[in-house]
Amino acid sequence: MSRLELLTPEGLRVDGRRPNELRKIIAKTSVLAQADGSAYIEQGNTKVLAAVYGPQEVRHRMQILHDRAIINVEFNVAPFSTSERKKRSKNDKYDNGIKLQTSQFPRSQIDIYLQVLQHDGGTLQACINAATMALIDAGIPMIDYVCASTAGCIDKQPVLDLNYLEESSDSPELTVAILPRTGKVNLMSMESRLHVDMLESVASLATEGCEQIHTILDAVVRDTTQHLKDSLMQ
Amino acid sequence: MDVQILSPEAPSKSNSHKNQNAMDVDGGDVQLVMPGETITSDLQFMRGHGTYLDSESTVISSVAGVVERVNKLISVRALKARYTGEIGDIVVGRITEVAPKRWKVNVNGRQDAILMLSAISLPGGIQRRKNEEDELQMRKFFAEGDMVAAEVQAFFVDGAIGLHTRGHQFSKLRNGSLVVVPSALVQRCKSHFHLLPCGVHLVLGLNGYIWVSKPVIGNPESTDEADIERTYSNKNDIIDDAERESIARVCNCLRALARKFMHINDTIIIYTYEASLKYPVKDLLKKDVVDSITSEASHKLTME
Amino acid sequence: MPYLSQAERDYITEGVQSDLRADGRGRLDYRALVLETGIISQANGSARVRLGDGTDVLVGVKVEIDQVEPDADNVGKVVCNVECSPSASQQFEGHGADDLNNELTQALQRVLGGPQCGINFEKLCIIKGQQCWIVYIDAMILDYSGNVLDTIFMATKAALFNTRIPKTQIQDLGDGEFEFEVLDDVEDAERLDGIENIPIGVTLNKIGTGHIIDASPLEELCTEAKLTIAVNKDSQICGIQKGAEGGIEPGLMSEMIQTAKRIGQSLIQQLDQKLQDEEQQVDEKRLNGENIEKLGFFAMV
Repeated sequence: MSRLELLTPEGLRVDGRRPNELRKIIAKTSVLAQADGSAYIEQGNTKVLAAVYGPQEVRHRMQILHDRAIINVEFNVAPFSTSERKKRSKNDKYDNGIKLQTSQFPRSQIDIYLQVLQHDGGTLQACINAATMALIDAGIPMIDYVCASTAGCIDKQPVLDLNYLEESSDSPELTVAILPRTGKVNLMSMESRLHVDMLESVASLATEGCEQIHTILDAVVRDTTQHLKDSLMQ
Repeated sequence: MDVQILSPEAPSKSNSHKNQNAMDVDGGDVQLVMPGETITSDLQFMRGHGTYLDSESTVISSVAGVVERVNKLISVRALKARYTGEIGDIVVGRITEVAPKRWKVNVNGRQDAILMLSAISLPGGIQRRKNEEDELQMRKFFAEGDMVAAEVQAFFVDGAIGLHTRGHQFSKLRNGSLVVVPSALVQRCKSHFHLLPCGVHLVLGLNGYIWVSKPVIGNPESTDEADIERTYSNKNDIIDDAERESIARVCNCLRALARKFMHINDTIIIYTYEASLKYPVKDLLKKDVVDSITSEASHKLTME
Repeated sequence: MPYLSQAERDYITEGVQSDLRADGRGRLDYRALVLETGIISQANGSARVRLGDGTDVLVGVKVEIDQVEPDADNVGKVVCNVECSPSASQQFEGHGADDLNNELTQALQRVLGGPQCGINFEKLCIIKGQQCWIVYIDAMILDYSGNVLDTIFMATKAALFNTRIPKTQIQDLGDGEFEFEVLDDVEDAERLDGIENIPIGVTLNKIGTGHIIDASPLEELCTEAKLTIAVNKDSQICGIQKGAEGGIEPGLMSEMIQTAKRIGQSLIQQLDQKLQDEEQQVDEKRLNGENIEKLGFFAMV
C-alpha cells in the first residue's frame, strides 16, 4: 500500500485544512426531552450525542457516597458510525476528566450517557465537549467548562484536530482537556509514540485548540441561555 | 385516519433581539453568566448558590444562568435544573418507597424527599401520636406510585427535603393526571391550589409537577365516615366527558406553556385556556396551535 | 420500573373507555411525526423519526458484500438490530435494555427477514452460489415517549427508501467462473427492489375494554395486552405479534386486526407521499445546484 500523503508540499492536510486549523464545529444543547440535560456536537464528521440525568437519588444503595455525588459514565458507539459496520460492545467506561462540584450533592448520582453517531477521529474530545455542554444544560454546577482538543504530529509538523484518516496512519495523537479560565490541564492522554522534543509544541497546539473550542461552545450555551431567559421573561 | 408527518424546522434566530428591547422597557437589567465566568471581584459581596470563590476571592459562576443579587448575596440561577426546595414550598410528589416510619417521595430533586409518618394527618383530622398500628398499615395511607401534595417543612442534615401533609389542602391526589414541566417555570405565588373558572382544580407544585384534576368534594377534616374514607382513597369520583375534556385541555395548555418555556401561574393558564377554546383539545398538541395560543395568552398578559 | 398510582391508572383506563385520552386524543389518533432522511453520511441510507414530544428513532442502513448461505445460494438477506440508548430512558442503562433490544430486534427481523417484507431477495444475490448483498438495518432509540416499535417500523421504511445499493458488473470468465466489480458511481446506485411493499407496524394497546394506537408511556404502563400487526400497502398482513401479559378475546382480536389494517394502510399512504415529496425537493435542489442541508439535531425540538 502506498503511503498516503498526509501533508502536501504546500503544508495542507488531506481535507484541505492548515496544520493549526480545527474542523468545523457546530453544537446544540437541549436536544432530548427525557434527560435533564443534553447536547449534540459535530466536530467535522465526528458526531456525538450526550445525555445527563441527575443529580438524583442513587439507584444502588451500596454505591452511596456520603460527602459527594457519584458520577456514572456510559459510552456507546452506533453500529453505523464508521464506514465498516460493526457491532461493538457497550460499557467502554472511562473517566473523562469532567470537573464537577460534586460535593454539593452528597448521596446523589449523576449519569452521563454518550452516544457516538458518527466516528471520524477525535471521539474522546468530542465526547468531553458534548458532556460538558449537557452538564451545563442540566444546570449542574461546574468549576468551568471542560474543553478538549487533540493534536498530533505529521512529518515533524504539529497538527491540530486529527481526523480518522490522519489518526489511523500511525500519527501520534494527544488529547488535552483544559479549564479555560485558569488554563489548568484536566486531562492528557496519548496512546502512541511521540518524540519528547515534540511533546511541548504538540501540547501547546492542542491547548490552543481547546481555547478556540471554548469560544465556540460558550457562544452556543450563551445563545441558548439567552433564548430561554427571553421566553421566561416575556 | 390522518397523521401529521412534518419535515424538521430550522430554529428561528430572529426573535431574541426583539425581546431584549422589551426587557429594557421593564428596566430589568439581567446579567447572564456562564460557568467559569467572573461575576465580581468586589470583596464586599458574599457568594450564594451557583457560584464559587477562587483563591483571590473573586466570585465566579458555576452554572449558566441569570445573576441574582439580594443585598450583598450574589447567586446564579440556572434556568434548567432539578428542584432545590425552600421551606414553605408547595410540591407535588410521587411515593417511591415505603420505609420504616417514613415514605420516600420523588419531587424531581437531587435526592428523594422524606415524608415522615409523624408528618401526615390522620383520616378525620384526629390529633394523636402515630402508633405501631399505623406503622404496620403505612401503605393504607400512601403506597408506591401514589401522588401527594405536600409542603416543604425542613431539611435533613444530608440535604434531603422533609415534607409534611398536615392541613386540609394536602392530600393524596386522584381524579386527574400529572403534568411535568421544568421547575423554574412555576412561579411562587400566594396560593398554589387553584380552582379554575372551568371547574378544573390545579396544584401547582414548585418542583414542576402539576396535578390537574376534578375537585375532590367533601372536607377531609370532617369526621363524617364517608369523608374519612375519602382522604386516603384510591378511587376516582365519577368524571363525565365534559369534565374529562376540560382536564385534558388544561393539561395540554400547561404542556404548551412548558414547550414555549414560559412562566406558569394561574392567570396565564386561564388566558391560555381561553385562547385554546377555539381548537379541539387534541389539536393543542400541534406546534402551530401551541404557538398561537401561547402568544395570544402572553399578549393578553402584557395588556393588563 | 416507573410507578403509577391506582387513581392515575383508573383515570387513563376510563379515558380510553370514553374515547377521550389524557392528552385529548381519541382512541385512534396519532401524534404528529417529524421525519428526515439521509442524515448519516456513512450509511447507504438513513432516517430519523421523532414522534410527538419525545420518541426519537434513528435508523442507519448499510449494505455489505458477503458469502451466500449454503442452503439458499441465490438470495441475499436483511439483518436487523435495535438498540435502546440510555439517553432515552434510564431504565436502558447498562444491561437494562437487553431484553427490550432483543424483543424489538426480533419483532423487526421477523417481518423484514422473510419474503413477506416484499423485498426481492434474489436481486440481492450478486453471483449465484457465491456472493450476495447483506442489508444491515440498525435502529437506535435516542429518546422515549411511547410507541417505540411502530416508530422503528416507520423510520426503517423511510431509511430503506433512502437506501441505494451500488451497481455491480459481472464478468463471465468461462468454466462457470465469475468475477464482479462494484461500480463507484453514486448516480448508478439502485434502490432495493420491492421497496414499495415494505410493511409497517401498527401496535394496538388494549386498555380496559377499549384499544388505542400510538400509546403514550403512561398508557403503556396501563396496557393489559398489545398486538403489533405488520401491514403493507395492499393491506396484506405480514406479521402479528402479541405482547404483554393479558389475554385478548377472539372477537376483539379480529376487530383489532381490522383496525390495524385500516390504520396501517392509511399510515403507509401518508408516509409514502411524504417520502416522495421529500426526495423530490432534494432532487430539485440538487438540479438547481443548491446546497442540501440536513437539519438533524439542529432542528427545533
